[in-house]
Amino acid sequence: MDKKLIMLDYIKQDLLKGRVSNLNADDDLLDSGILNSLGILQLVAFIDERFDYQVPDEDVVYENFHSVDAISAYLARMGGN
Amino acid sequence: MIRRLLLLNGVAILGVILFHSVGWGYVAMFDWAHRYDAVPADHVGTVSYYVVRFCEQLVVFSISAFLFVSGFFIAFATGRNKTIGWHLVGIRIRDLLIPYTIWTLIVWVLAALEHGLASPQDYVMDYLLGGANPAYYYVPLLIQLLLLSPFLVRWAKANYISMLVVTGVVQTAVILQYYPSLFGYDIEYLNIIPKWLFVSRIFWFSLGIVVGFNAKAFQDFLVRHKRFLLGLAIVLIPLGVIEWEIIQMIVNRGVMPHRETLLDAVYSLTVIFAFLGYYQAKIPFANTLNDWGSKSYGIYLVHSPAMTYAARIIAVFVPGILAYLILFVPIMMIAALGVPLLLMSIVNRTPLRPYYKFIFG
Repeated sequence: MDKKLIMLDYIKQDLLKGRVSNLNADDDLLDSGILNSLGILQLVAFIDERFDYQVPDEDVVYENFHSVDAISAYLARMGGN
Repeated sequence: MIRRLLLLNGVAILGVILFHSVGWGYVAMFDWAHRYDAVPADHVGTVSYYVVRFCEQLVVFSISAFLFVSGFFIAFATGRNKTIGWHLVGIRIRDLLIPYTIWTLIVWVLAALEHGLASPQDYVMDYLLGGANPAYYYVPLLIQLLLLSPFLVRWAKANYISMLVVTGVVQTAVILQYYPSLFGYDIEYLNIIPKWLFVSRIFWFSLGIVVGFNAKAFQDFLVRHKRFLLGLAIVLIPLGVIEWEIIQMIVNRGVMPHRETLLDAVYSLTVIFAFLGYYQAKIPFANTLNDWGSKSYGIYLVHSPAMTYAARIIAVFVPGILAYLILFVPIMMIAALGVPLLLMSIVNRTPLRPYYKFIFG
Protein backbone atom coordinates (compact mmCIF):
# COMPACT_ATOMS: atom_id res chain seq x y z
CA MET A 1 0.00 0.00 0.00
CA ASP A 2 1.06 3.58 -0.64
CA LYS A 3 2.93 5.11 2.30
CA LYS A 4 0.54 8.05 2.34
CA LEU A 5 -2.46 5.76 2.60
CA ILE A 6 -0.80 3.72 5.33
CA MET A 7 -0.11 6.87 7.35
CA LEU A 8 -3.57 8.30 6.74
CA ASP A 9 -5.11 5.04 7.87
CA TYR A 10 -2.95 4.92 10.99
CA ILE A 11 -3.81 8.51 11.90
CA LYS A 12 -7.54 8.01 11.31
CA GLN A 13 -7.87 4.66 13.06
CA ASP A 14 -5.26 4.65 15.79
CA LEU A 15 -4.64 8.28 16.65
CA LEU A 16 -8.04 9.82 15.90
CA LYS A 17 -10.08 6.70 16.80
CA GLY A 18 -12.31 7.23 13.78
CA ARG A 19 -13.25 10.78 14.85
CA VAL A 20 -12.34 12.29 11.46
CA SER A 21 -13.31 10.39 8.33
CA ASN A 22 -12.19 12.76 5.60
CA LEU A 23 -8.54 13.36 6.37
CA ASN A 24 -6.50 14.56 3.42
CA ALA A 25 -2.78 14.15 2.90
CA ASP A 26 -2.28 17.90 2.69
CA ASP A 27 -4.21 18.73 5.89
CA ASP A 28 -2.03 20.46 8.47
CA LEU A 29 -1.98 17.94 11.30
CA LEU A 30 -1.16 20.41 14.07
CA ASP A 31 -2.76 23.59 12.79
CA SER A 32 -6.11 21.91 12.17
CA GLY A 33 -6.03 20.25 15.59
CA ILE A 34 -5.91 16.74 14.13
CA LEU A 35 -2.86 15.76 16.15
CA ASN A 36 -1.20 17.15 19.23
CA SER A 37 2.47 16.94 19.98
CA LEU A 38 2.25 13.48 21.56
CA GLY A 39 0.37 12.32 18.46
CA ILE A 40 3.28 13.47 16.32
CA LEU A 41 5.64 11.41 18.47
CA GLN A 42 3.40 8.37 18.08
CA LEU A 43 3.50 8.95 14.34
CA VAL A 44 7.31 9.09 14.42
CA ALA A 45 7.37 5.78 16.29
CA PHE A 46 4.96 4.31 13.75
CA ILE A 47 7.20 5.40 10.84
CA ASP A 48 10.22 3.88 12.59
CA GLU A 49 8.45 0.57 12.90
CA ARG A 50 6.24 0.38 9.81
CA PHE A 51 8.68 1.79 7.24
CA ASP A 52 11.78 0.55 9.00
CA TYR A 53 13.29 4.01 8.88
CA GLN A 54 14.68 5.64 12.00
CA VAL A 55 13.90 9.34 11.64
CA PRO A 56 16.89 11.26 13.08
CA ASP A 57 15.99 13.59 15.95
CA GLU A 58 17.07 16.67 14.04
CA ASP A 59 14.56 15.81 11.29
CA VAL A 60 11.60 15.61 13.67
CA VAL A 61 10.64 19.21 12.98
CA TYR A 62 7.40 20.91 12.10
CA GLU A 63 8.44 21.40 8.48
CA ASN A 64 8.82 17.63 7.93
CA PHE A 65 5.84 16.55 9.99
CA HIS A 66 3.08 19.10 9.55
CA SER A 67 1.13 16.96 7.06
CA VAL A 68 1.11 13.48 5.57
CA ASP A 69 2.30 15.00 2.29
CA ALA A 70 5.23 16.63 4.09
CA ILE A 71 6.16 13.39 5.83
CA SER A 72 5.88 11.49 2.59
CA ALA A 73 8.07 14.02 0.78
CA TYR A 74 10.60 13.86 3.62
CA LEU A 75 10.72 10.06 3.48
CA ALA A 76 11.16 10.17 -0.30
CA ARG A 77 14.07 12.62 0.09
CA MET A 78 15.68 10.37 2.68
CA GLY A 79 15.09 7.25 0.61
CA GLY A 80 13.02 5.56 3.32
CA ASN A 81 11.47 2.29 2.23
CA MET B 1 16.35 12.20 22.42
CA ILE B 2 12.97 13.31 21.09
CA ARG B 3 11.60 9.77 21.29
CA ARG B 4 12.48 9.80 24.97
CA LEU B 5 9.86 12.51 25.60
CA LEU B 6 6.93 10.15 25.18
CA LEU B 7 8.69 7.76 27.55
CA LEU B 8 9.36 10.61 29.98
CA ASN B 9 5.65 11.40 29.90
CA GLY B 10 4.90 7.74 30.66
CA VAL B 11 7.35 7.68 33.57
CA ALA B 12 5.92 10.99 34.81
CA ILE B 13 2.32 9.74 34.85
CA LEU B 14 3.50 6.67 36.75
CA GLY B 15 5.30 9.05 39.10
CA VAL B 16 2.16 11.11 39.67
CA ILE B 17 0.25 7.94 40.47
CA LEU B 18 2.92 6.78 42.93
CA PHE B 19 3.02 10.24 44.54
CA HIS B 20 -0.73 10.28 45.09
CA SER B 21 -0.79 6.63 46.17
CA VAL B 22 1.73 7.28 48.93
CA GLY B 23 -0.32 10.38 49.77
CA TRP B 24 -3.18 8.00 50.52
CA GLY B 25 -0.64 5.94 52.46
CA TYR B 26 -0.21 8.94 54.78
CA VAL B 27 -3.98 9.14 55.15
CA ALA B 28 -4.04 5.46 56.12
CA MET B 29 -1.17 5.90 58.58
CA PHE B 30 -2.38 9.04 60.30
CA ASP B 31 -5.96 10.17 59.53
CA TRP B 32 -7.55 6.72 59.28
CA ALA B 33 -5.42 4.85 61.86
CA HIS B 34 -8.46 4.60 64.18
CA ARG B 35 -10.22 2.46 61.56
CA TYR B 36 -7.87 -0.47 62.07
CA ASP B 37 -6.25 0.29 65.40
CA ALA B 38 -8.19 0.88 68.64
CA VAL B 39 -5.23 2.85 70.01
CA PRO B 40 -3.54 4.33 66.93
CA ALA B 41 0.25 4.03 67.08
CA ASP B 42 2.58 6.83 66.12
CA HIS B 43 3.91 5.88 62.69
CA VAL B 44 6.47 8.66 62.39
CA GLY B 45 9.94 7.17 62.18
CA THR B 46 8.74 3.65 61.37
CA VAL B 47 10.02 1.68 58.39
CA SER B 48 6.65 2.14 56.64
CA TYR B 49 6.86 5.88 57.14
CA TYR B 50 10.33 6.15 55.61
CA VAL B 51 9.47 3.86 52.70
CA VAL B 52 6.50 6.07 51.93
CA ARG B 53 8.63 9.22 52.26
CA PHE B 54 11.31 7.74 50.01
CA CYS B 55 8.74 6.84 47.33
CA GLU B 56 7.26 10.34 47.53
CA GLN B 57 10.69 11.91 47.17
CA LEU B 58 11.60 9.65 44.27
CA VAL B 59 8.83 11.02 42.04
CA VAL B 60 8.65 14.72 42.93
CA PHE B 61 9.91 15.45 39.40
CA SER B 62 6.69 14.27 37.71
CA ILE B 63 4.76 17.53 37.19
CA SER B 64 7.98 19.31 36.24
CA ALA B 65 8.56 16.62 33.60
CA PHE B 66 5.04 17.07 32.16
CA LEU B 67 5.55 20.82 31.83
CA PHE B 68 8.99 20.33 30.32
CA VAL B 69 7.53 18.05 27.63
CA SER B 70 4.70 20.54 26.96
CA GLY B 71 7.24 23.34 26.53
CA PHE B 72 9.36 21.20 24.23
CA PHE B 73 6.46 20.68 21.88
CA ILE B 74 5.64 24.35 21.80
CA ALA B 75 9.08 24.71 20.24
CA PHE B 76 8.28 21.87 17.83
CA ALA B 77 4.96 23.39 16.77
CA THR B 78 6.61 26.78 16.24
CA GLY B 79 9.01 25.37 13.67
CA ARG B 80 10.80 28.11 11.76
CA ASN B 81 8.08 30.67 12.48
CA LYS B 82 8.80 33.70 14.64
CA THR B 83 6.51 32.40 17.33
CA ILE B 84 3.70 29.95 17.88
CA GLY B 85 0.37 31.12 16.47
CA TRP B 86 -2.59 31.97 18.69
CA HIS B 87 -4.67 29.61 16.56
CA LEU B 88 -2.52 26.65 17.62
CA VAL B 89 -2.54 27.79 21.24
CA GLY B 90 -6.34 27.95 21.06
CA ILE B 91 -6.57 24.42 19.68
CA ARG B 92 -4.31 23.07 22.40
CA ILE B 93 -6.34 24.81 25.10
CA ARG B 94 -9.60 23.52 23.60
CA ASP B 95 -8.16 19.97 23.63
CA LEU B 96 -7.32 20.37 27.31
CA LEU B 97 -10.58 22.05 28.30
CA ILE B 98 -13.08 19.60 26.81
CA PRO B 99 -11.92 16.51 28.76
CA TYR B 100 -11.28 18.66 31.83
CA THR B 101 -14.84 19.99 31.69
CA ILE B 102 -16.30 16.50 31.29
CA TRP B 103 -14.37 15.09 34.26
CA THR B 104 -14.99 18.14 36.40
CA LEU B 105 -18.72 17.69 35.77
CA ILE B 106 -18.49 14.00 36.68
CA VAL B 107 -16.67 14.85 39.93
CA TRP B 108 -19.30 17.50 40.73
CA VAL B 109 -22.20 15.12 40.08
CA LEU B 110 -20.65 12.43 42.29
CA ALA B 111 -20.03 14.99 45.04
CA ALA B 112 -23.56 16.40 44.71
CA LEU B 113 -25.07 12.90 45.07
CA GLU B 114 -23.23 12.56 48.35
CA HIS B 115 -23.24 16.05 49.83
CA GLY B 116 -25.78 18.04 47.82
CA LEU B 117 -25.15 20.97 45.54
CA ALA B 118 -22.47 23.58 46.17
CA SER B 119 -22.99 27.29 45.55
CA PRO B 120 -22.64 28.66 42.00
CA GLN B 121 -19.64 30.70 43.15
CA ASP B 122 -17.95 27.53 44.41
CA TYR B 123 -18.51 25.82 41.08
CA VAL B 124 -17.12 28.79 39.16
CA MET B 125 -14.03 28.99 41.35
CA ASP B 126 -13.53 25.21 41.25
CA TYR B 127 -13.69 25.25 37.49
CA LEU B 128 -11.36 28.20 37.01
CA LEU B 129 -8.76 27.09 39.56
CA GLY B 130 -8.97 23.33 39.12
CA GLY B 131 -10.49 22.85 42.54
CA ALA B 132 -12.93 20.06 41.71
CA ASN B 133 -10.18 17.59 42.53
CA PRO B 134 -6.78 18.20 44.19
CA ALA B 135 -4.95 17.10 41.03
CA TYR B 136 -6.86 19.35 38.63
CA TYR B 137 -4.87 22.52 39.42
CA TYR B 138 -2.53 21.29 36.68
CA VAL B 139 -5.03 22.15 33.91
CA PRO B 140 -5.41 25.90 34.64
CA LEU B 141 -1.66 26.00 35.29
CA LEU B 142 -0.86 24.53 31.87
CA ILE B 143 -3.44 26.74 30.15
CA GLN B 144 -1.82 29.86 31.61
CA LEU B 145 1.56 28.69 30.37
CA LEU B 146 0.13 28.00 26.92
CA LEU B 147 -1.34 31.49 26.84
CA LEU B 148 2.10 32.83 27.66
CA SER B 149 3.82 30.62 25.10
CA PRO B 150 3.76 33.09 22.15
CA PHE B 151 5.69 35.54 24.32
CA LEU B 152 7.97 32.90 25.79
CA VAL B 153 8.83 31.59 22.31
CA ARG B 154 9.80 35.08 21.14
CA TRP B 155 11.91 35.53 24.25
CA ALA B 156 13.54 32.11 23.85
CA LYS B 157 14.46 32.90 20.26
CA ALA B 158 15.81 36.33 21.16
CA ASN B 159 17.76 35.44 24.30
CA TYR B 160 17.10 32.11 25.90
CA ILE B 161 19.66 32.55 28.66
CA SER B 162 17.89 35.61 30.05
CA MET B 163 14.57 33.75 29.85
CA LEU B 164 15.92 30.79 31.81
CA VAL B 165 17.52 33.06 34.40
CA VAL B 166 14.41 35.19 34.91
CA THR B 167 11.93 32.29 34.99
CA GLY B 168 14.33 30.35 37.24
CA VAL B 169 14.56 33.28 39.67
CA VAL B 170 10.78 33.74 39.64
CA GLN B 171 10.14 30.07 40.36
CA THR B 172 12.83 29.98 43.04
CA ALA B 173 11.22 33.00 44.70
CA VAL B 174 7.91 31.14 44.77
CA ILE B 175 9.56 28.13 46.42
CA LEU B 176 11.38 30.39 48.90
CA GLN B 177 8.13 32.06 49.96
CA TYR B 178 7.25 28.81 51.75
CA TYR B 179 10.39 28.72 53.84
CA PRO B 180 9.62 31.41 56.48
CA SER B 181 6.30 29.81 57.34
CA LEU B 182 7.86 26.35 57.18
CA PHE B 183 10.36 27.42 59.79
CA GLY B 184 7.71 28.64 62.14
CA TYR B 185 7.61 32.33 61.26
CA ASP B 186 4.08 33.55 61.13
CA ILE B 187 4.32 35.28 57.77
CA GLU B 188 1.27 33.76 56.18
CA TYR B 189 0.78 36.78 53.90
CA LEU B 190 3.87 35.60 52.03
CA ASN B 191 2.23 32.29 51.44
CA ILE B 192 -0.12 33.62 48.81
CA ILE B 193 1.09 32.11 45.56
CA PRO B 194 -0.98 29.00 44.86
CA LYS B 195 0.33 26.11 42.81
CA TRP B 196 -2.15 26.69 39.98
CA LEU B 197 -0.56 30.08 39.24
CA PHE B 198 1.88 30.02 36.32
CA VAL B 199 4.80 31.51 38.26
CA SER B 200 5.00 28.42 40.46
CA ARG B 201 6.20 26.24 37.56
CA ILE B 202 7.10 28.59 34.72
CA PHE B 203 10.75 27.53 34.64
CA TRP B 204 9.99 23.94 33.59
CA PHE B 205 7.82 25.01 30.68
CA SER B 206 10.39 27.61 29.58
CA LEU B 207 13.19 25.07 29.87
CA GLY B 208 11.24 22.71 27.61
CA ILE B 209 10.89 25.45 24.99
CA VAL B 210 14.60 26.26 25.14
CA VAL B 211 15.68 22.61 24.91
CA GLY B 212 13.21 22.16 22.03
CA PHE B 213 14.85 24.98 20.07
CA ASN B 214 18.37 23.79 20.87
CA ALA B 215 17.83 20.04 20.96
CA LYS B 216 21.12 19.02 19.37
CA ALA B 217 23.28 21.25 21.57
CA PHE B 218 21.46 20.09 24.71
CA GLN B 219 21.65 16.48 23.64
CA ASP B 220 25.43 16.69 23.25
CA PHE B 221 25.74 18.42 26.62
CA LEU B 222 23.47 15.95 28.40
CA VAL B 223 25.16 12.90 26.91
CA ARG B 224 28.53 14.28 28.00
CA HIS B 225 27.38 14.84 31.57
CA LYS B 226 24.88 12.02 31.95
CA ARG B 227 26.85 10.12 34.62
CA PHE B 228 27.22 13.22 36.76
CA LEU B 229 23.51 14.06 36.35
CA LEU B 230 22.42 10.55 37.28
CA GLY B 231 24.80 10.46 40.25
CA LEU B 232 23.53 13.82 41.49
CA ALA B 233 19.92 12.73 41.09
CA ILE B 234 20.58 9.60 43.17
CA VAL B 235 22.36 11.59 45.89
CA LEU B 236 19.54 14.14 46.01
CA ILE B 237 16.89 11.53 46.85
CA PRO B 238 18.06 10.85 50.43
CA LEU B 239 19.08 14.50 50.82
CA GLY B 240 15.52 15.54 49.93
CA VAL B 241 14.12 13.10 52.49
CA ILE B 242 16.51 14.43 55.14
CA GLU B 243 15.73 18.07 54.26
CA TRP B 244 12.00 17.52 54.71
CA GLU B 245 12.55 15.63 57.98
CA ILE B 246 14.65 18.51 59.31
CA ILE B 247 11.99 21.03 58.27
CA GLN B 248 9.28 18.99 59.99
CA MET B 249 11.42 18.66 63.11
CA ILE B 250 12.04 22.41 63.30
CA VAL B 251 8.44 23.33 62.58
CA ASN B 252 7.26 20.71 65.07
CA ARG B 253 3.74 20.47 63.71
CA GLY B 254 3.83 16.73 63.03
CA VAL B 255 3.66 15.31 59.53
CA MET B 256 2.98 18.06 56.97
CA PRO B 257 1.83 17.75 53.37
CA HIS B 258 4.91 17.86 51.18
CA ARG B 259 5.77 21.11 49.43
CA GLU B 260 8.35 21.57 46.71
CA THR B 261 11.70 22.60 48.14
CA LEU B 262 14.80 23.97 46.45
CA LEU B 263 16.45 20.54 46.62
CA ASP B 264 13.35 19.03 44.98
CA ALA B 265 13.69 21.49 42.10
CA VAL B 266 17.36 20.61 41.60
CA TYR B 267 16.46 16.92 41.78
CA SER B 268 13.73 17.37 39.15
CA LEU B 269 16.22 19.07 36.85
CA THR B 270 18.80 16.30 37.22
CA VAL B 271 16.21 13.55 36.68
CA ILE B 272 14.85 15.12 33.49
CA PHE B 273 18.32 15.83 32.12
CA ALA B 274 19.74 12.42 33.11
CA PHE B 275 16.73 10.72 31.50
CA LEU B 276 17.38 12.58 28.23
CA GLY B 277 21.15 12.11 28.53
CA TYR B 278 20.67 8.35 28.61
CA TYR B 279 18.41 8.49 25.57
CA GLN B 280 20.01 5.43 24.01
CA ALA B 281 19.71 3.24 27.09
CA LYS B 282 17.15 0.46 26.97
CA ILE B 283 14.33 0.97 29.43
CA PRO B 284 12.26 -2.02 30.58
CA PHE B 285 8.62 -1.94 29.46
CA ALA B 286 9.39 1.00 27.16
CA ASN B 287 6.46 0.23 24.84
CA THR B 288 4.01 0.12 27.73
CA LEU B 289 5.41 3.34 29.17
CA ASN B 290 5.20 4.98 25.75
CA ASP B 291 1.57 3.92 25.55
CA TRP B 292 0.81 5.35 28.99
CA GLY B 293 2.77 8.47 28.02
CA SER B 294 0.50 9.00 25.01
CA LYS B 295 -2.55 8.57 27.29
CA SER B 296 -1.13 10.60 30.16
CA TYR B 297 -3.67 13.43 30.12
CA GLY B 298 -6.65 11.08 30.26
CA ILE B 299 -5.00 8.99 32.97
CA TYR B 300 -4.22 12.16 34.92
CA LEU B 301 -7.82 13.39 34.83
CA VAL B 302 -9.33 10.06 35.88
CA HIS B 303 -6.75 8.68 38.32
CA SER B 304 -7.39 10.99 41.24
CA PRO B 305 -11.19 10.57 41.51
CA ALA B 306 -10.66 6.82 41.01
CA MET B 307 -8.23 6.73 43.93
CA THR B 308 -10.56 8.69 46.18
CA TYR B 309 -13.37 6.19 45.72
CA ALA B 310 -11.05 3.16 45.90
CA ALA B 311 -9.59 4.41 49.20
CA ARG B 312 -13.01 5.08 50.66
CA ILE B 313 -14.34 1.67 49.63
CA ILE B 314 -11.35 0.04 51.34
CA ALA B 315 -11.77 2.21 54.44
CA VAL B 316 -15.44 1.23 54.77
CA PHE B 317 -15.45 -2.44 53.75
CA VAL B 318 -11.94 -3.77 54.40
CA PRO B 319 -10.28 -1.26 56.77
CA GLY B 320 -7.78 -3.91 57.87
CA ILE B 321 -5.92 -3.36 54.59
CA LEU B 322 -5.13 0.23 55.64
CA ALA B 323 -2.78 -1.18 58.27
CA TYR B 324 -0.62 -2.82 55.59
CA LEU B 325 0.82 -0.12 53.34
CA ILE B 326 2.66 -2.78 51.40
CA LEU B 327 -0.82 -3.88 50.23
CA PHE B 328 -2.73 -0.61 50.35
CA VAL B 329 -0.35 1.56 48.28
CA PRO B 330 -0.07 -0.96 45.39
CA ILE B 331 -3.88 -1.35 45.42
CA MET B 332 -4.20 2.41 45.10
CA MET B 333 -1.71 2.40 42.22
CA ILE B 334 -3.61 -0.35 40.44
CA ALA B 335 -6.89 1.56 40.88
CA ALA B 336 -5.29 4.82 39.72
CA LEU B 337 -3.90 3.26 36.57
CA GLY B 338 -6.40 0.49 36.00
CA VAL B 339 -9.61 2.52 36.15
CA PRO B 340 -8.60 5.09 33.50
CA LEU B 341 -7.08 2.42 31.24
CA LEU B 342 -10.20 0.28 31.60
CA LEU B 343 -12.49 3.23 30.79
CA MET B 344 -10.33 4.11 27.79
CA SER B 345 -10.47 0.54 26.57
CA ILE B 346 -14.27 0.43 26.96
CA VAL B 347 -14.75 3.72 25.11
CA ASN B 348 -12.39 2.52 22.41
CA ARG B 349 -14.52 -0.59 21.82
CA THR B 350 -17.96 0.99 21.84
CA PRO B 351 -19.89 3.48 19.68
CA LEU B 352 -18.37 6.15 21.94
CA ARG B 353 -15.05 5.65 20.13
CA PRO B 354 -15.31 8.83 17.98
CA TYR B 355 -15.66 10.80 21.22
CA TYR B 356 -12.55 9.25 22.81
CA LYS B 357 -10.45 12.38 22.25
CA PHE B 358 -13.09 14.57 23.86
CA ILE B 359 -13.31 12.34 26.92
CA PHE B 360 -9.64 11.56 27.49
CA GLY B 361 -7.76 14.10 25.38
